[in-house]
Amino acid sequence: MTPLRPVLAVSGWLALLASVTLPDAAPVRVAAVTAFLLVCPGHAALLALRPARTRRSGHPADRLETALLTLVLGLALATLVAVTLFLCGVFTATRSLLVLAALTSVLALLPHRSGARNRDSRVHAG
Amino acid sequence: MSGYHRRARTEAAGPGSGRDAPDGATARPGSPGSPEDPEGPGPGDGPHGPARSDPAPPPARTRATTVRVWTARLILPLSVALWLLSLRAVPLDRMRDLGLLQVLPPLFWTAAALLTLGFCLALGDRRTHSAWLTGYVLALIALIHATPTLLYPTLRYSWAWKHLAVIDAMIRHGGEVPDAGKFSVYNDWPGFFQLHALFLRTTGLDSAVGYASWTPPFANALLLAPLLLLYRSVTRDRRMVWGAVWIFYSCSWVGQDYFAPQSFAFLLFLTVMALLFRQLRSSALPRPDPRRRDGWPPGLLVGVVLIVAAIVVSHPLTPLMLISALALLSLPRRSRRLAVPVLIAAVVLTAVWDATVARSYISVNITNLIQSLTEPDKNVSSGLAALGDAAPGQILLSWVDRGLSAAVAVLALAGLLARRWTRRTGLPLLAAAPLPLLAVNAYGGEMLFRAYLFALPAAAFLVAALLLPPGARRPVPYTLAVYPLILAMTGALFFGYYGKEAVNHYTLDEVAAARYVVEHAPPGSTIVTLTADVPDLDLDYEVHRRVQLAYQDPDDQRVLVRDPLEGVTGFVFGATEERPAYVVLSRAQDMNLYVTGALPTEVSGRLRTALDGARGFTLVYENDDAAVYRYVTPPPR
Repeated sequence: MTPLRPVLAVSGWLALLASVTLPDAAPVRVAAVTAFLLVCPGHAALLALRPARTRRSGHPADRLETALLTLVLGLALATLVAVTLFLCGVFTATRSLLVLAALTSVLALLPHRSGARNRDSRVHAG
Repeated sequence: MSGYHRRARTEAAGPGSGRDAPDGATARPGSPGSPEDPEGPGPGDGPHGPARSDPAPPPARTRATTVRVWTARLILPLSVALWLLSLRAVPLDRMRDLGLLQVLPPLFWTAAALLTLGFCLALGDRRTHSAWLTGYVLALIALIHATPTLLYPTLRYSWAWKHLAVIDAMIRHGGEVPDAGKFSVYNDWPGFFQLHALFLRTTGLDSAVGYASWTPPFANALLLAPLLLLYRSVTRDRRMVWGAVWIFYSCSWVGQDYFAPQSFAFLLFLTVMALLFRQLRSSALPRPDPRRRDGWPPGLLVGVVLIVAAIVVSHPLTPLMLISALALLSLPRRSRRLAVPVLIAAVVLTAVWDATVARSYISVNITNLIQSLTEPDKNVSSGLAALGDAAPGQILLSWVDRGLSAAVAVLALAGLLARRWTRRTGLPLLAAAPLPLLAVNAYGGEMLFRAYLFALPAAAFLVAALLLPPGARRPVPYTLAVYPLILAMTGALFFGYYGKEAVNHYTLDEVAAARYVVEHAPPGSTIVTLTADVPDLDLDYEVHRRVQLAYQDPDDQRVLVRDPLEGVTGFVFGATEERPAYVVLSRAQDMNLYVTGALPTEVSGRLRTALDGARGFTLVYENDDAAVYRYVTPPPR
């Protein structure tokens, strides 16, 4: 397991901690929550949804696609969580971050298929 | 035979073949492995290395080439510096019917022209690293879209302020806003607003106004990623890819990039399209999972469906554009297995959402939709402004906008005809996707502009294919030859994008007047304005009644023009101490009347004179740019 996955798994809980303990609009709170929302759920989803072999070609387009999907999937997940909580009439800041943190942890810690990467790495050599 | 070899064979008969192919096997600009493509191999390479012999080393630089390279590198920082210097003292108060066009100094225009020249020089040189081209495009985005943000003291555009009010109301009500009136449409597509509500509540920020001003430059910069993926999936010719990117930003004059659901949904839409084109077997990029013969990798399909779901809950029009695009892309066999699953997901999600959460809006508006189905010509023409009483500058602007849009359409069509390989790319279908919607829905008179926006990414590429063909023998002179045309496109964009800034720009005094009204008006009050152009006046919209005099029935407008006091009193009569009425007059409203001709310009002045001495009206707030009158119906004498 790469160090990235545990970092992603705890990122949401750190953002939640910042959100509930720091005063409104405190720079550290804003930075922690913003960084989490823009990067972590999306990247965790990407790790879970896209097999490792498809992320490792080293082609600039892959890096661009990874960055784009990280951001867009993160925004999509945050949107869907917010809409669901609002529609159910149970939206609070803590609940929304709680759901996103839990989702990020689950997605980041999902077992990934090792070996596929090795079998396929020759395809993207160069 | 492995799927990879099969794919290489398919490409030999696909877009890469033919005399005018963009990425044929012979060395030409943009060929993988050639000096023009420093970014690695393409799909023509075999699984064990490049499919052809090693490329020849790049020729030694001549003195002229070195001068050109350094000129392109110097122009970028120079034009950015000139742009920033040009913003030091812009007399915003002198904006009239040409908006920012008439107040920006010559230095600004010099910077824009220089930036375009530098980009053309960089584009013509095959050694230019992508970082420089990225820098040029980001500088163009900053120059176009960050200029108003840097110049104005507060958020521009009345609709952006409305969206802030919607977020505030949704936070206060924990979701759906009751008694929302015309704002109820936002209850039915709340995704964008509730995303920002989540962000504001979790960070503890009071309002989105601080970052909403920066939405245009950031929204456009974010589009760069899906645009590059889309274009690079079609060709490996860097000149064409980056030329198409530049043309897209130079022609995107519609202005749907502000703090709004549509700018958010457009990013998601383009991302879905870029992912789909990337997965095509004909993709010029290395496919993420080349062993897969066709269709989506299952995980990625789940991700795409999540993105589609976010589009469906955020904006009414974008899912329809997406469905239209996917339906057209389902027609050719080469893209069918990719488009159909996403199409099914988009149709099901849209139908479920429209039948449940958005049902109230859909059921009320279904009659209008059916009516518009029978009047497609009306839908098309509704986007063309009525220019009867508009200011002279606005008539010029309108013609320039139309000219630019028509030029893009004609050049894209010419590209389609002249570069036959583009017909096999799927981009013509993407460009045509908004047309069915243009025929069935006027979308409040905006459908023509929205259709243009959704067609533009594909159309820009077709234009680039026409203007910057990959086989040009002398790319530098060729690129410089199209400089005047690219410069003209950028210039035309400024007309459409900056021409109405006299209305879209607000002063802090106007914000202060609106804040006074919102803070003092009790629930049930009526707030009367001439137009919609008062920033932040929609805050607490669910507890106030709004009347915009310029958009009432023609009979009421005639009364207002004949006798402004009578025209206003008709809407506020019966106001009490508990539920008073407020009349707000302000600079941007006056400018709107002058620019658009919605009402005769002098109505505002005459109304103010009449209100000053009228029974029941009291001037309760005044500053340099706004005045607020409170009205309570006096007892009969």
